[in-house]
Amino acid sequence: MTTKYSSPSSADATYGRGRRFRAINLEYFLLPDIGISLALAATLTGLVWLTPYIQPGVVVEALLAAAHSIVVALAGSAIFHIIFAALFLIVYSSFLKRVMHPEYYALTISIGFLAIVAISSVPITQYIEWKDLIPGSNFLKQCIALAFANSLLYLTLLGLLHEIKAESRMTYVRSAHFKAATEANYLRERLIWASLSRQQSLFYYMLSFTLFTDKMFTTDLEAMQGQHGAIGNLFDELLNRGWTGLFGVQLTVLIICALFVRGILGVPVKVWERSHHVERD
Amino acid sequence: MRQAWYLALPVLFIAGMVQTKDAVAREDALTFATTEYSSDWNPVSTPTYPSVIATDLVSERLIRRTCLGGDAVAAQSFENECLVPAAAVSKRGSVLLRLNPTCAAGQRPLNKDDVIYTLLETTETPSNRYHQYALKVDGAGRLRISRPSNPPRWLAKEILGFPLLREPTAKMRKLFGLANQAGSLARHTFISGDESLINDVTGGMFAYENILNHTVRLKLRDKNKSTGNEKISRININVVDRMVDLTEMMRSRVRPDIVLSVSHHINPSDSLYTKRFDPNLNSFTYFGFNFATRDLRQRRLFEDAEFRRLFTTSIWTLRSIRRILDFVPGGRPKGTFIGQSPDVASPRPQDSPAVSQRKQIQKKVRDYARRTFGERGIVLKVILAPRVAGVLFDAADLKLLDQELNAIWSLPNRKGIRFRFTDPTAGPAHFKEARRSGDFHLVFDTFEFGANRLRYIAFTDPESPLNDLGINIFPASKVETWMKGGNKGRLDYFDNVMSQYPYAVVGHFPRRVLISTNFERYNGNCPSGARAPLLHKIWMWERKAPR
Repeated sequence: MTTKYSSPSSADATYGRGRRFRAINLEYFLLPDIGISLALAATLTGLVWLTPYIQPGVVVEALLAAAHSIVVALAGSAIFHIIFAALFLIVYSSFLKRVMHPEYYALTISIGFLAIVAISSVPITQYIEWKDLIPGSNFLKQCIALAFANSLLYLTLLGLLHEIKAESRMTYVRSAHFKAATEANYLRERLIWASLSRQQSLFYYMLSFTLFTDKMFTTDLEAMQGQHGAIGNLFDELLNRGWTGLFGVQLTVLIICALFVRGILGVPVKVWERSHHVERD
Repeated sequence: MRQAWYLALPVLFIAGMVQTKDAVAREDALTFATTEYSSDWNPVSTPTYPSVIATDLVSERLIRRTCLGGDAVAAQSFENECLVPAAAVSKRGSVLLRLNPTCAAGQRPLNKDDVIYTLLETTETPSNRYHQYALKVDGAGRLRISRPSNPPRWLAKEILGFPLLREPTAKMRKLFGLANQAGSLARHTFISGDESLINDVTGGMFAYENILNHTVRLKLRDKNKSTGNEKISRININVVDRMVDLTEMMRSRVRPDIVLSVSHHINPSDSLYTKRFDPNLNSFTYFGFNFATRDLRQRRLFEDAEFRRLFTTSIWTLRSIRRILDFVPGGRPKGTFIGQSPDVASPRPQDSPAVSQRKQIQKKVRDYARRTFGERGIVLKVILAPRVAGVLFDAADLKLLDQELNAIWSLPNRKGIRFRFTDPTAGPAHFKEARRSGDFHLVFDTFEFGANRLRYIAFTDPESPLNDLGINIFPASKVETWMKGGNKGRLDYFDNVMSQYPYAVVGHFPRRVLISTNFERYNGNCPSGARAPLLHKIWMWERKAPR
């Protein structure tokens, strides 16, 4: 990566590298998410070990359900990223040429905007109608429904574009031509940072919407034999039986898993920030 | 490239293993589907219908019913399972406890103390299906039925077919945190992880393999008494969220083999499913008056027999109610009008208000409302059970019911009696909580009494925990007499209910069990015309053709 413009890290590369390794050893495992997750896991393990009231079986089942939900959420966000990257690159390339070809930029932006509004305005429940039309396994359908639905594309794309636009108005970017650099070079850093820092929120968003996929994709007997998602399980237990012990255990296990994965998703942005000497406010 | 193969091979291998395991498991597995959610599979309190079914599959009985109806004479209709074959039920309905060696052998032999333990747990658990019979073992080792007293022999045999439990061992008690007192098993919630406990206390042909949130898997128990002729070795009970999903599933290529508790108006083709009636699904739907309410004026109103009678008859004149019951000929009703009796099999004649009488009844109602609450209005809060509001009525029906009821009972200027309906949008758990809290005046719900007809008598017993509405119209001593009195007591009860209206019965909404026609069901040695009870020796059923 070009780091000419971020002088502190390039000026003292050895020092920076050494600090980075120390930081990984100590700090990343003490990220609040992972720390809370491990503490909760230790408490739950202790309860299972010491008291007869929580059986290992219920924890194992909750763990499998949570893992299922997280895998669906992560796979959904992977599909989302592929589509998003394709869409964004088209819009972004025209954005970079906006001074030379304003008409090309206007056309791409308006078509892109309309297309994304059209895709995003389909409610997730619509996918229950299209379920039989989409080929592939039930799992894949769940991921596709998650990736496309609920205006996630719209919100993320718009947010990112706004950030890039705001950054492009900064003086240091505008003066790029006079410093033997390009606008794209300067904006790339901002782009990477913004994408990395969105991962955690995206994961939560996806995970919370697995409730709909859990509820929608169980109309097939063969699909029912498989694992159910954790959030669907929580919903059913709360609706039918209320705040039971089972609900408590399932919720705790889901929180442990979700926090852990969220913490891991936060590591790249932390590493990036540290390597660029950025401090969050 | 080579590294990629090293990674891919184990993945493919595991995927293949999962696939083969699945294929083997499906071969002789039987699939149940139901919309009734249960995550507690307690064999004592049996909180839901699927848990009743599962408990029947995993437990033994002293006496088991083998044939129903037709030419079956009483002697052929029952067989001793855990009683010695020679043991006979006396004329007064008692039996000497002598246990069959087949039940008393194996890893966990059944003994007399276990039967006594089962009865203790049963008497501690009012929701148990056999609780009201007050079974006990006397000093001479005879098992006696207290209610009804001196039951006829066939009824006694029916009652003695309760699911048997074994006393949990001290190790199990410690492992699962069970207190050493009667009723501790009934209070335990059986969820995933409790399979070993439930298998330890039961001893039937099947055992729990796995309890999951939406699926329960049962498998044949490894046992000496297995004959080796079993055709079904696994049973899956699946929960589907919505009725729409279930009906869609019933039409699909891979359809469930047995569908539990489906409302009568859902009627799939005879070539796909055989419809069977299960006495465990007996119920009646009613408007219950909350006698335990803290609001004094409302309580006074409920204590007036005239109001209860008028309310009940006014319900039957409503178009929204008549439409779902069989008043209108030629329609597709969801239920049957059964008058004021809680039992569809009541022999007492019922007269339904004819259309011509509607005006007359409504006039009487208005007169009553004017006379009692003409000066000051009164509001009755009605809470709707999800199983009534979601299944029998949709939102438009309920709106019509609300409008009609208020049109009859309320007077201009917010006078008279007004009804305010509360929708159960928050689900069954919320409804149960609201019912427990008593923060309402009327409840629109279904009471499931199953095969035990004493349960609806207990529903009006001021001392019974089943009577959560606090109905105190009949004294406890009288209720006890009815319960002990057998058929005569039951008729007496109907007469009293018909004159006193302790609850406003709307009707009977039958539910059935659907069994796939893909099976050659085991019929035992039942004579012509008679047939085996539902799910009798299910492990002997045979799938006709590959799906």
